[in-house]
Amino acid sequence: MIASMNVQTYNLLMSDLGITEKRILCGMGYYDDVAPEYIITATAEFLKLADKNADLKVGFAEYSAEQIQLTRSTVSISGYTFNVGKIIANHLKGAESIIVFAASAGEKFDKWIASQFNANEQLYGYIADTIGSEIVESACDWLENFLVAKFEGIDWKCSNRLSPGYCNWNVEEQHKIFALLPDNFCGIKLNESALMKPIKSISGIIAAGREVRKLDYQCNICNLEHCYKRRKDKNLE
Amino acid sequence: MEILEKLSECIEYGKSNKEFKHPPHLVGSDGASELTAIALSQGISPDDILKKGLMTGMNRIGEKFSTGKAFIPNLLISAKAMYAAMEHLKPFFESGEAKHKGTMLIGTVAGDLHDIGKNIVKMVMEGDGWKVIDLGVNVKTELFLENLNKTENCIVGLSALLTTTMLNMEETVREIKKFNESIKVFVGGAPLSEEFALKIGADKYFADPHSLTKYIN
Ligand code: B12
Repeated sequence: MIASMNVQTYNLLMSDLGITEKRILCGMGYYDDVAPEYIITATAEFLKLADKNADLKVGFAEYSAEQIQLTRSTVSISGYTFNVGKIIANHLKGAESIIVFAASAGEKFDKWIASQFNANEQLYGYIADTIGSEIVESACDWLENFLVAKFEGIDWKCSNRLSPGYCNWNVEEQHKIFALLPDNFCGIKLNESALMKPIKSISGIIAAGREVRKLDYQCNICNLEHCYKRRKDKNLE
Repeated sequence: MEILEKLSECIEYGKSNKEFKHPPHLVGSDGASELTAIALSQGISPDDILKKGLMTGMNRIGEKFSTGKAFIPNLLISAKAMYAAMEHLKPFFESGEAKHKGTMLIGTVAGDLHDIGKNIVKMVMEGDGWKVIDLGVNVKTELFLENLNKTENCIVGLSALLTTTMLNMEETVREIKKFNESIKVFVGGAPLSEEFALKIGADKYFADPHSLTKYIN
């Protein structure tokens, strides 16, 4: 039994997310450069097929102020202490509520990607793979918007979404994230190495409260040295 | 030789065969498959085809990739064109007339299921004239050792994408070196670094496969 009074999950459709071809192309690296026509066409075709293969779920458990303790580099949620580091702790400042969330494109999607790779069409496999990454990211964007709207009424703001494995927050702490969510949440299982299955899954937390502020995140503070994917355009439609 | 230059262009831009309608400037002309067959029929040696045609093309696209001028999809269609050409060269490798530069055993380490990065390394290495034995994902140390027993003179490539699974590399590297210290072990994957590679006893870290081929050549 988890100690959250408010657990919700949502099944989403691709049409809820409005993912564009451009977003997928950027996901493959083509920000400023124009992708070859052949790749653009294949991406458009695969995007149409993605809906049939996605079983998109996003959900969260909300923990309230009395269950949260924040220090300069840690946060405890319902008895589980996370060593999030100073930067992430700073994002959580003023939290009156912490939303522990997960999202997944579903097992069928992983299988679809694998079937494209197995058909020996590496390009199609990679396009399907990128679509998978972008749809689960997009499901998290959806959740952020949902939470902003939910808290607007009481004049609370939300932080960015913050995930273990980013920004010096050890990926291993995902075990505690899942301890704060019901079993098999959104169909996700975590292995010993803190790898989620289905692969196209994301976990994390979001803080909400009157004094919470949305700060710069992701590429601006990420310390990944060799990333081919630094987001140059944060407002992809 | 003009035909080998054309062949390398087909590899660089990913023109597998005549029917393939990409890239725009080569639509309708012979692709890697046709050009390789023609080159062989003209008596050009498989070795020259490999080195002056295929490898030149793969190197060019690899260079563009590592300098951010081309992306993974470009690399994948180049690799496809290279495989189309390789089909014609297979019999020469089987008969021993053409030789691989060596063999690479590659796998994603135990606990980790990421395979795209590893697959790309595999393709680039094959394009550079290596025979690659792909052990897949979640590869336990024993499987590496089992294969090292069966394979002479090879190098090893290990991939990991999480900070948790990259720790599993340490054991694999240690056991491989215990098995035979002279076996070169190269590692890669987003969270790794040169410092980490050296700390776990691997020979070197590479941010992308092209840097590896440049280094070993
Ligand atoms: C796309 C992506 C996702 C997608 C899809 C992931 C997937 N596996 O399909 C989604 C959004 C789902 C995702 C989720 C998560 N992700 Co993620 N993700 C990425 C991202 C942006 C790209 C990964 C990718 O596909 N790269 C493309 C391939 C081709 O690159 P590659 O595998 O690195 O391989 C290249 C090189 O590394 C090299 N190489 C690789 N192996 C080898 C081997 C040898 C021998 C050589 C020479 C070279 C070499 O050559 C390849 C070609 O250039 C990376 C950041 C990055 N820039 O890499 C983070 C990254 C991998 N993710 C990360 C994290 C933390 C996560 C999550 C744990 C976050 C969370 N809490 O939810 C989850 C985990 C998901 C799971 N299933 O468990 C971290 C992992 C590091 C860590 N701390 O452990 C990274 C590195 C980001 C970061 N800033 O730190 N992720």
